[in-house]
Amino acid sequence: MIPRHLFSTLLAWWCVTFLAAAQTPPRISPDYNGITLPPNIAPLNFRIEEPGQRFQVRLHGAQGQAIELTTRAEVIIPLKPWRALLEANIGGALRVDIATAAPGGGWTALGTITNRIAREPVDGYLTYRLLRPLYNVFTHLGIYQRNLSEYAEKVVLDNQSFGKGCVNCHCFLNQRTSPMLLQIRHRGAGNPMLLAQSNQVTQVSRAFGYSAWHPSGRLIAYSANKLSLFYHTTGETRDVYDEESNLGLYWVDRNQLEIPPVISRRDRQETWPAWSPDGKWLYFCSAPALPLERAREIRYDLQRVSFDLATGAWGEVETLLSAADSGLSAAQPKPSPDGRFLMFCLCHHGHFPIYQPSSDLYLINLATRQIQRLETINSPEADTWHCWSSNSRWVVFSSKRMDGVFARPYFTYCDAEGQFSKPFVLPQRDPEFYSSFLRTYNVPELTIEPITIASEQWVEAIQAPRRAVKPQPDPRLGGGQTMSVEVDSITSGTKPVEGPSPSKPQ
Amino acid sequence: MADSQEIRYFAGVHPNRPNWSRLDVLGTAALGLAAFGFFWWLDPALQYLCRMPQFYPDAAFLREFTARPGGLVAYAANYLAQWQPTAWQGALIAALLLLIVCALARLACGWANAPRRFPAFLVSALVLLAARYDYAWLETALGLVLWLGGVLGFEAVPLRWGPIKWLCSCALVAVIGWLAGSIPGGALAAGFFLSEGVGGKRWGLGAACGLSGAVIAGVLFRFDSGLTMGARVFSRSNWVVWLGVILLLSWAAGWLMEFALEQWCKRRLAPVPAKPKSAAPAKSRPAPKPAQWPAWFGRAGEYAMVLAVFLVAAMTVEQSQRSRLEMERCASRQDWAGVLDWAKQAGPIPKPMHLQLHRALYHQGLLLDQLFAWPQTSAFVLLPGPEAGFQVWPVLSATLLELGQPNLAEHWAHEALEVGGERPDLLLLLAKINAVKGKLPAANVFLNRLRQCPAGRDQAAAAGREISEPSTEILRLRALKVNSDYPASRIPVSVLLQQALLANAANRMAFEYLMAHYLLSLKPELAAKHLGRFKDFQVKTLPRHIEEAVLAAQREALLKTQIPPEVDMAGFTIRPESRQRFERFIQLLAQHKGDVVAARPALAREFGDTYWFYSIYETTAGTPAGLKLEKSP
Repeated sequence: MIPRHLFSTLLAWWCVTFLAAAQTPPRISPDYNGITLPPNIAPLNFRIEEPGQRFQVRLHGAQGQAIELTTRAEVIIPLKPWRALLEANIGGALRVDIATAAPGGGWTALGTITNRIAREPVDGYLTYRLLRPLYNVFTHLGIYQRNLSEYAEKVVLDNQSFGKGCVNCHCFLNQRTSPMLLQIRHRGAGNPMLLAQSNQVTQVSRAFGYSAWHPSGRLIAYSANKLSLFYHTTGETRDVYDEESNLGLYWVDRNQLEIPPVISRRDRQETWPAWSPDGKWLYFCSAPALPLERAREIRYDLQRVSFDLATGAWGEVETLLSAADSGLSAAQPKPSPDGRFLMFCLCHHGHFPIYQPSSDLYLINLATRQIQRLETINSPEADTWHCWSSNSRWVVFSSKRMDGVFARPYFTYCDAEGQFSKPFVLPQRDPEFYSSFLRTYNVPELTIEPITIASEQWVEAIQAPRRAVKPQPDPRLGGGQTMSVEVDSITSGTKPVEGPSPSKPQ
Repeated sequence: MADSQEIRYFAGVHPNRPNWSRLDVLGTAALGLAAFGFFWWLDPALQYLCRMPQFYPDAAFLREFTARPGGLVAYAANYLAQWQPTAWQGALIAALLLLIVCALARLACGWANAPRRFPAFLVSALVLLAARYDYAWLETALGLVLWLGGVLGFEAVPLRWGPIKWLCSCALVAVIGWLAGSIPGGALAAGFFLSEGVGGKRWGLGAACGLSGAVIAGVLFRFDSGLTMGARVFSRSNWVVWLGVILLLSWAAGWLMEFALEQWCKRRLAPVPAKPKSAAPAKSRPAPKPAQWPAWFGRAGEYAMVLAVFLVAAMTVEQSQRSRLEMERCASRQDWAGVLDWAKQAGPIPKPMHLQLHRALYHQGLLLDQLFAWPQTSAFVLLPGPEAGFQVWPVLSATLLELGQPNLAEHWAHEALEVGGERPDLLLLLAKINAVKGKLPAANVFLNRLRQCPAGRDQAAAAGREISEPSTEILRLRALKVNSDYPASRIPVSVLLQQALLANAANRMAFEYLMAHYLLSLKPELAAKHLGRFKDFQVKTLPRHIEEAVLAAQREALLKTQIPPEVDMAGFTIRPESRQRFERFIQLLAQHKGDVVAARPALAREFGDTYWFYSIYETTAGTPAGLKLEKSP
């Protein structure tokens, strides 16, 4: 009796193990398994991380022509059949069957990877800054744009083309590329902001830090920070200390600066401005001023203040999430274009999450004020620099999850309930691209159209601008308000240069 | 005659095509052998180490070279340089390039009726340049090949109509100029002028080709940020001056010798005119044949001259530069004895090598015995910062890693990477730093990049093995890692060393560096406070410089308080010979009545390698030439 029981138990155990093994999808790199992908994404080329020399790969859905490939471990999917397959299966599943060549001939199935194709496309273009992990010195960096439905990468502005200056944050209005702005640091031109509109670039002789367009396009909220880079001897090496920061407005139509007292308090450091899609709220982060020695104690609250564009009136500052309650520091608030959600970072301290492995993405449901940590998309490394697509269904963000050093752009799908899918990395032609790419993806921003301004136009606007304006100072304030700021190459923020020290309005 | 030339021209046989004699074959073979031997002796691995050219077979890397004139030649040169780390391969490539330049120059001269000594001149110039380790030799040689190829291509074009030939010359200047840079482009324009104008007597066409080519080269010059050829020659006048002098003198001497030989041959080989036996009219007699200069004589002289240039180049090789590169090579292999040996011959030691010297002294157990036997000044600190310059940062990073500060090491390695590019040594260093920090995926990213560089594949494979199954070295460095944070934009040297000691009291390097730092920053009293720590490292006799510092500190305290100070010697004693030397030092100083300026020569002779001398003059006087590398018993 006992042997019979033992036999049946062993058999059951073997069956369970076998079935589990058979259902374990094969390992591939990058991890494109169990993801939701947009119907307009470039082929997700991958490498099979299973033993074997030759593989048979079959990509198929309920509809359309399947793609069958016999290949080595690197799977390169042809573009046209891929597009057709995605289009035919929008809203459905995309399955990838993988088999390996058996020693005696024939194929041994390794399993199936099942992904879902979303109904909603992601915005077609991704603009990002590529740079090495920088400290104090920089020689080569630039802004690039990628067409997401293929692999073509276009140089928007490479710093080699204008004397190795620094090109900082790019900022778009309503996911369109006109108008857009770029922050520049250049020995000859100073630290101007370049404002591109209707295929013309205007040099604005004024440095801005983190900027955000008001949805009307009439004004820009910006931060003026006094940043410095410092180093830790344990953990993440780099960190940023913001000694002093304020928010201000630049009225594009009036070419005038305004420093509203409510967002530039003397006792607070305000930074990371972001407008709500209706333009009635300005979201930002704010913390009390502390010295560098207490850098690890500096934690920012997430706040907002109402704004009336017609009258220019401000409401009372409202705290959405206090650092005292969360024990963490908030940064980079980004409302979704449909106005339902606000995504932001929380990290251990400070305001610069990309240098904080503790940085994770959180979501506030603006209707219910409910805050959730986005477990499905966060990782043990820094997750930050997020951006919504125009349809509020996709989010791209930078994550260092692959290796802890280099940030890569990841996409995630957000359903109507605010649930996010497993993120996947921006596909590349070479599936092993990220394993040896020594540049980091900074500030990935989605747009629905490509940037049409040629690189030469940007360079001309820096070196010999045809159109240049100097913003008028805030008439309510005296000379002390000429806050002189220098854009920092590492942090993309600003820091003061010679001139009167930043003054705070009373 | 013209018709027959045309026919040969169209048949692909140039009328002035040089013939190859047995002498030429022998001479070329000798030249090739001499070149190979010479380049091997120069050691291409050192040339590679000096410039560390990078090459990655990807489109993004290629794009960096296609954006400027001359970039593609630099790209090709970087590719060829990947063979330099293996000396014989590098030598073979260099020798072949030299022969190609020689052969093309001969062809070009034959066709363009240029001076026949020109090929020898080019080859000699290349040989002399090769002796300068930091010169972009491969780029120059490839630029010359393209330039000569352009001249030959122009000559080979079977075109009779001037305007077409002019257009062809413009296209060639543009193409070669883009490939090789504006200087070869300009030289090509000059070549066309010489070839058509001077050689072919078609002055109009020659001037048109030369002028338009010069304009194109000028336009390219505006975008030629690399200036692959020539820029370095003009930017480094110190050695260029004497190089030019050597070249000119040797050539002048050569031509003078040739002229003298020609005259000698004319006199010796000319038949003595016979006296007329009769008064018959002279015109009926055939005129005596003029003396014949043996055809092989001049050519043999050229080959001999080129071979002599190898000797000149070998004699004028920058030995100090070579020694410094050898130091670097030894340091990369952690052959610390070798570093010290080469340092003795290196002359003034540049800053990066200074850091390597300190590392070598530590690893040889000589840091606190021989520190002041080597050139030191208070201006150069033990662990400098950004002001020391990019060249220092990789060594600084490696030193900080060894000291147990991987974060600070990471900082400087990344700064160096940004400035120096993806150099194999930096990738290796960053992989090691990340492995020590426990970030294996990041370490692998750097190693994967290194694997793509032909010269780095083996290193990457070896490092990959070290990292995947942590080697004793990685484990040792992990054990030394600091475990406390000190957030700052710049950490004082003493703090970072003390922090390392706090994390691991057995970190001997941090301790010795801390002592050395106290000595170099003239704080002997702080060094004297830590004598007990020497016992932790099983030191039985205090190192020489520590004894000197203790004696100096005692005397200083005595002079200040007039009371003999009490120093906790922690069971150590100062050796009698050290006390005697100190007394002698004080005596010498007293002889000059405390006039340190007057006393300097005498003190430098006897005490130039001591802390005492350094403490007065903030520099050392000892020369390492006769130094015995022995530590205290």
